[in-house]
Amino acid sequence: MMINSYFVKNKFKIILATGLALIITLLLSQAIFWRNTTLINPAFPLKVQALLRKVVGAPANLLALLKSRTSQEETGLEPIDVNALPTMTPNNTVDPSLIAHSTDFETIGAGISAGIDQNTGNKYVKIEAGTVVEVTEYTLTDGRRIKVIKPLD
Amino acid sequence: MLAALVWGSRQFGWEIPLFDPDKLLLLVVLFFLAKGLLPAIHNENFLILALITLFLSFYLVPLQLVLFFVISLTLFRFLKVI
Repeated sequence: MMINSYFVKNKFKIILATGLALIITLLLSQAIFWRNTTLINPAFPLKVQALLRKVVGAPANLLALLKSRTSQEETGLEPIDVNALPTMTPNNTVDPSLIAHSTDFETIGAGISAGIDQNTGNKYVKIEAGTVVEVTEYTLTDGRRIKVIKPLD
Repeated sequence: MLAALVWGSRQFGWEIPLFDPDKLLLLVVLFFLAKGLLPAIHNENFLILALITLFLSFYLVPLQLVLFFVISLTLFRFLKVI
């Protein structure tokens, strides 16, 4: 009776301890050792070094972040106002189904893909509905003007 | 007796069904050490842990068995089971 009550009292703790030990064992042996050998996994010291570097470098990173914020305020640069960005109107003179059939689009950014029509050689940029982009126009040294489309997350 | 059986299996090539003699020898050494360090009041808990470790030897490699046994004993100590 005494043994039974003693066992019931500690049963939960024993199950918890052995379960935790099994999980820790499997995680540790996978992380530290190379497969099922006693050799140290070469990635493990690198991971520890990276972790230490991250922990030790955290204050420096925070300072750098604060410094960049301060310098941004000093230069007078404002954060981009999404509502003030120009909105794009689709070109209604082109049938989208024709473009889709003859053009292979390649994704160049989040929600943005570009392609060249194989038949006509026209270049198209496809922007999925709901994607917020910033369009900046630049003049190159040879006089050409290009538009850079950057998605805003 | 178990230790003698394991020793005999290694020495004379006896086959112990289901169990790997190398792992069993390792476990016997571990159990002897742990039992020698534990007082008799913790015999039940030690027996449970020994049985679990014994059956885990079907799935785990020797290194993992040692890790499991040591971590379990440490957790037993932290949880005041022993």
